[in-house]
Amino acid sequence: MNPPETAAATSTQVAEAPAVPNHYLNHSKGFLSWALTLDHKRIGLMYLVGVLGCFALGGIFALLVRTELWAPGDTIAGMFASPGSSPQEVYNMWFTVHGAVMVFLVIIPGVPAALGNFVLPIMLGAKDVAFPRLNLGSFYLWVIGALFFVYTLFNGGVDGGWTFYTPYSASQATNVIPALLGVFILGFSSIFTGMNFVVTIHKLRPPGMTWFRMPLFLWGSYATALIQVLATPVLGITLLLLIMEKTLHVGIFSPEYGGDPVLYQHFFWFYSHPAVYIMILPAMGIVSELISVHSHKRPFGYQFIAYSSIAIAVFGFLVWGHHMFTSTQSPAMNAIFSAITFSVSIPSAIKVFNWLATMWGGSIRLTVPMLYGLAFIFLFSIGGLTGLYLGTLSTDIHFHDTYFVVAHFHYVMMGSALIGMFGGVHHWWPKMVGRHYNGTLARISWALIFVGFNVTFFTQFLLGSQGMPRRYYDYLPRYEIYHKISTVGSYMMAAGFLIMAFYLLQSIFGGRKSPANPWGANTLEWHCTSPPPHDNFATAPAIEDCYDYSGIDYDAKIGGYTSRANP
Amino acid sequence: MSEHESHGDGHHAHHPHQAHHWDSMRQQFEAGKLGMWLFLATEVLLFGGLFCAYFIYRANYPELYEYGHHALDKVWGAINTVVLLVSSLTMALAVRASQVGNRKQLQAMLAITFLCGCGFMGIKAVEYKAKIDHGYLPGKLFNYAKTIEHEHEGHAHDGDHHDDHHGDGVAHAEGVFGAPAVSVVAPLEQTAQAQPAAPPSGLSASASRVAGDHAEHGHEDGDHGGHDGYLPVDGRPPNIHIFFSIYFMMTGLHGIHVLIGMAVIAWLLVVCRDGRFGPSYFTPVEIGGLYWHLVDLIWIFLFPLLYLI
Amino acid sequence: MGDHSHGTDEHGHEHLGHPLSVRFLVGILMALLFLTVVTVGVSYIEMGRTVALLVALLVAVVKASLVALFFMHLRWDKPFNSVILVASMAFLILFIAFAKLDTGEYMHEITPMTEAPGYVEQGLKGN
Repeated sequence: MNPPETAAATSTQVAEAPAVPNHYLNHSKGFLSWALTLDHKRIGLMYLVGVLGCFALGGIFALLVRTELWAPGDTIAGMFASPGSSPQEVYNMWFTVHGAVMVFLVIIPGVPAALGNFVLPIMLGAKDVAFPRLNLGSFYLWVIGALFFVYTLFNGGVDGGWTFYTPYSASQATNVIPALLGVFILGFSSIFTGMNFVVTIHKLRPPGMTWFRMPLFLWGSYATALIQVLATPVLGITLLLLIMEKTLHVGIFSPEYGGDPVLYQHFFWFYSHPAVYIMILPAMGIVSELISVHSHKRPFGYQFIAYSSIAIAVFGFLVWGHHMFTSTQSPAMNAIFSAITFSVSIPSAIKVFNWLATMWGGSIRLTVPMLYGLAFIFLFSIGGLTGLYLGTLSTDIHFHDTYFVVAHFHYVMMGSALIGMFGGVHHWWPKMVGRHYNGTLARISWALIFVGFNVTFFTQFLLGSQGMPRRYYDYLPRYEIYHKISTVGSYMMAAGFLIMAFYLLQSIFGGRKSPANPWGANTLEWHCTSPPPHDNFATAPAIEDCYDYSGIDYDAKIGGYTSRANP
Repeated sequence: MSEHESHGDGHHAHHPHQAHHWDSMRQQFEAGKLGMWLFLATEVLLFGGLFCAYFIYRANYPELYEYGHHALDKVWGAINTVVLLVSSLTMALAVRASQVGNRKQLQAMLAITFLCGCGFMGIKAVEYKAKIDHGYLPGKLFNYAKTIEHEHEGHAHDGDHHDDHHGDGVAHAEGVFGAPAVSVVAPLEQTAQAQPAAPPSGLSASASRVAGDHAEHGHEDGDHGGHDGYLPVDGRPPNIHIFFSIYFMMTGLHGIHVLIGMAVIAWLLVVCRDGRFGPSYFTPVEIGGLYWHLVDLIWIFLFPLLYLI
Repeated sequence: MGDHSHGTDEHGHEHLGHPLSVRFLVGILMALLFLTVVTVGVSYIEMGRTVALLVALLVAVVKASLVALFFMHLRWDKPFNSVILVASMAFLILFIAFAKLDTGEYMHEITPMTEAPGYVEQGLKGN
């Protein structure tokens, strides 16, 4: 199907591409060719568009929250209030929607669905994921879940916090049932993606790519997929039970019906703690790739990084009670969960040290993906270390439900997981769309995001340790200066993301064409054209050590790298 | 350039059911099974949440189960267990038939499995109807008024009718009330004459009115078929609706999965007519079978936990 | 018991199945039915609540093992499939154990319900 000269064209891509269909984007045309595609690359791209769109939506609500908190008392929420909802209730709706959209529509699907779907099969030298139709099904489930959320937005929003704690959620919160149904459906999307990735990694590795010769992104994706399969169903049953509680008053989670609200928290966090590892493990996998490629050096301690991914996945199931230290969880349980929480930091720390050791003695290029990788290491260190303060029983009594917690989880969820995701987007962008983005604008955007993030959230550690509670619409005047600083930071970040949207779109329509291997990497996805052909490879690439950069040479004629083993 | 056979591009005698990204039918088959086992793990954990609720409430409110499980008919439950076990056999035989390429036998076994599913749901309907008739429904649907009516209609039994068929559920109830169960014989004429608007004696705040004393008035059910699983109002725990919430949610979710399994079997019956299943391709039958066996597995646990103890 | 036929059909496609003999499968059913009789019969014997629970669970686990190993073919499958099933049950047991341990600790602090909530909802006056 591909003209024979395409094999040579992988390394000598001409500036003017021939007009014949030669990659996955123009392989077939028309709405249905996308809507009913089984091509993992197209599915990944559709996911990326959806996820980034939802990120913008969640971000808007974040800006509303931060703007409201600019000053004590009502700032802007009153403008959206109505006879049926006070400004406080409007504010409650904003932070709930922000949290729910970001957690369930952006970060959890984020890297696996958008980047994993695209990259994983090609990294394996395979033609597709194990179950392409299930993959498309996952995508549509995501869309339907998103529509449920959009529905609640038009119906007055949902409140009570993204955690939906009883008894409030069972008796008084608004619009809970459509939101819960949306999350339930999103859960299945996540489960099916997890199933697909586990089987793909088990079954579609090429001969010669043993488990310990896989790229580290695959280890991260595999560990994530295991969590998706084992943890998400518990969320599913929790949501069903909550719906039953709300409609039939079954008496399991709400005291007024005979239930136990702490039991709800056990059920909820049994999933939601492993969920945060669903968010972080793929991003860590990406960072392993970024640091290695952009330091042009083999990852230090490959086996440790691989094992630590599995360790984090397993340990992540044993610590959910650390969200419940102040919820009348028994002292014995508190102690057990606190101790295990400390131990889960060890594999994460191992990764950080390995990344640093990878950079040491490497040939570091401060490309945009590398900047994101470095930002990840910095922000994750802060996020992870502050987690230890929260895992310590005595300090958590003081910090629980304050802005200290808010700052901690934004450092790990946004500063780490999302930064890792955007690092991946910037790393694989030339592969996915076949074009480069404007490097200068990208660096400006990165700087605004990085500085803005720290301004926004570091301040919140101070706010929290001085007692500012979370989810509060109003506050004492002594917190005002911190809130103002934090809000300014959030606008800096917003500016950074707007610039990012601009240059990414600009690259699609007019960016410099990218060669197959612009970064000098050696994992398999860089041995096919940018963008890849429909079947991923014109001819099957040789399987070699994906972290051996000795055979990778820069070719100025094409503005990229070539591999002596896979010309 | 490449020493290896690339994935799936050696176009020699491909089986018509081999997808393009697989190297061989065996690889595709094993991947399908692996995928299905992962899905079954999610089902285990989905039901697991309900089992968790079951065990937590059993541990913390034992009187709920000691009192409530008399409403469940052991005989129907046991028959349903047998029905599902037989259906598991016929499903395994169906898989076997597809593996040896015997289409007629495959269809017959699938059909019998489907009928067993119908039988199971039929018995379930009978059981549910009995509950509805008594007003024993989950949560806020528990029909207290109807239970009092029943009491009036003469279901009340002789006070010294001792029930000894239900393990030790009688003597050990303490539960959250703390006090050991004390039998208090409430004259049943009083209960029978209670006005619908007045609280039946079983709901008084007295700590003695816990599960233990209901045995005095217990109604024998489940020792042979056809009984209506009546629970006396006297001695009823105030939170009895929780027992029925758990019962209906567990058996209801299980029933939904039986229906899904039956739909899968029906689909297999339709598509197997063209003879596509044989020794080299029977994956859908195999993984449909795995799903059906899981439905059976869950019932193997549900039955004793709800009906027998 | 099992027929390890790995022949090929007329197109050269490999036989993938491992058909079990009908006798063997029926034998498994007989074992399952026997265990069902056992578990129902045992339920008529007076014993402590905990013992009754353990016996019931034990019999159920044996029955489930028979179904999983033989009807679901795990006995001859790749071990990872069994690992998946066992792992899911292990995590489930972990969850139930921790939740139960915790609720057990604070149950004594809970005020017992004296009146059914539905009673009031349905307009039947409580006391």
